[in-house]
Amino acid sequence: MKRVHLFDWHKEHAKKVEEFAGWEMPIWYSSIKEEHLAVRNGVGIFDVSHMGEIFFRGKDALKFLQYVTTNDIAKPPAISGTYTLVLNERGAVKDETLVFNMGNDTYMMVCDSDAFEKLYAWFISIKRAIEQYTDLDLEIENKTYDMAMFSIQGPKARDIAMELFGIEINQLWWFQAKEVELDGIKMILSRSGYTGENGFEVYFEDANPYHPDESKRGKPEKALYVWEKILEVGAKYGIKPCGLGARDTLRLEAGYTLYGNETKELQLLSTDIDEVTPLQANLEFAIFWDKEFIGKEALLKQKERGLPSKMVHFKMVDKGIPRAGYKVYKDGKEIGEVTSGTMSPLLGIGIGIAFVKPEYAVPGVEIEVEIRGQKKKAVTVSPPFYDPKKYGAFREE
Amino acid sequence: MIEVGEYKVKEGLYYTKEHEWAQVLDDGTVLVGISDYAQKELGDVAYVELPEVGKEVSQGDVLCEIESVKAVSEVYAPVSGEVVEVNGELEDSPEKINEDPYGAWIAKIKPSNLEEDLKNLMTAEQYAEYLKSL
Repeated sequence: MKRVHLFDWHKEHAKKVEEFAGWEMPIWYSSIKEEHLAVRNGVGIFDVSHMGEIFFRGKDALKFLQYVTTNDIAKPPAISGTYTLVLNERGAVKDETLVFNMGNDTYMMVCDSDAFEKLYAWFISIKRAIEQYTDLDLEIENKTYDMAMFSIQGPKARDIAMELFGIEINQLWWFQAKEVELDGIKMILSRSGYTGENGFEVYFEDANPYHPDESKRGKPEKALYVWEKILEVGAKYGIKPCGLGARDTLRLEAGYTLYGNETKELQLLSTDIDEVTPLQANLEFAIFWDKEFIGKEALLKQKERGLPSKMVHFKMVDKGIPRAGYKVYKDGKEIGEVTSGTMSPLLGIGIGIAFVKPEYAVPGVEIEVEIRGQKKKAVTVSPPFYDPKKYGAFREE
Repeated sequence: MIEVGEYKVKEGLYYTKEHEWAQVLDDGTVLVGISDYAQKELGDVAYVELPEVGKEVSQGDVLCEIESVKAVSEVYAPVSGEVVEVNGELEDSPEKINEDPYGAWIAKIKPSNLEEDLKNLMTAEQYAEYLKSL
């Protein structure tokens, strides 16, 4: 099983440590609800060092990344990040990623913990194919096990960034990053997160006692120092270490897609367009059509033919908690399937995301979700699930 | 209470390997709930789908479902019989199971084969030993 730098700390402090996508990770320290509400009302810190980091270096790095991902990463100057998708050749999402332009022809891709290995192999195979015909100035390196990544989220995250790094995160645009230093430890800080709240994430390299490469193992002194320092400074704001349980309920309340649930490669055999495409998952905002990229033709074809299904958010009207795999009905007819569902810790109702026939993928449609043989009433809504005036990064202060 | 690490085991109850408890009342009916270990493993209980009154179950059958924020879990009937009452309080306050696992009973069963069924259950002392083995 894969482990992050601070696994031992988590094992000691978390009530639930469990396997997630091949990683042994803290699921909750005290309780999902408590951690969830700490982030909505104050601040929480997540160790997300299981996220993948792949580095691209060289004169051809930008061109290469423009071709293997969907968004335009050429525009922003260093250091800034772009949310961009990696698609397969038939248009389905291989992963949702953030690519940071670090300057000096260097780019860092942050990708999902259960996708970095397949992505790395995919990029290497494409690079080799190109190199059959022409020289490439491009080095691709997987640094997932070396990079520590912490996510500090919630309305009080801003105060912590100010106190520790002297940075007003509200002056950064979303995904913009800066080099910062904490007591001699250099790191990248980006305004980003996956909870719907304001917040920031820090990335830095450190020894990992569980690195698969034995020669790179060692005490994670920097990671432990940074983690404990943030907890110490955050104490006055009631900071809580948060596990992957709250990470999932928070992202779902915000309405964000999760690779593996909403976005994935179904590897359909009988068609030239694979699912799930970004068009189906409401991710067209991350597609820059004025360039060539892998999967583009399939998307154009799918636009012409129409979508087989489309993503929609819904909340339960009846009691009950939707879960991935449950069937969705309209007037007794099956129209789709739930891909994510939970009890919203903030709202106390069941919420979820489903893929349904496109005509129903609009807010305000009364649907039913089959829970253990019973059809329960639900209604489609626009995300986020919470009132954005009261919660989230754009709340009214 | 017997304490096994962070887990409490209430004396005088019977337990299953799946972490349900059964309490035989003076009138011969049996209250059913889940143990402290079970509620800690589940985490925040978000929803209890109570069984219907009148439901007939055999020992080991699925009695009902409990949902934590994260997942759905089944509760198995520790004894055979008929469900004669359910704890309606859990409909609006499922968190009672976390707060007081041995007070928050789920269903009351009128047993049909109690003497035999009890032989298949653990006493509190046996259950405490069982928890140590996990």
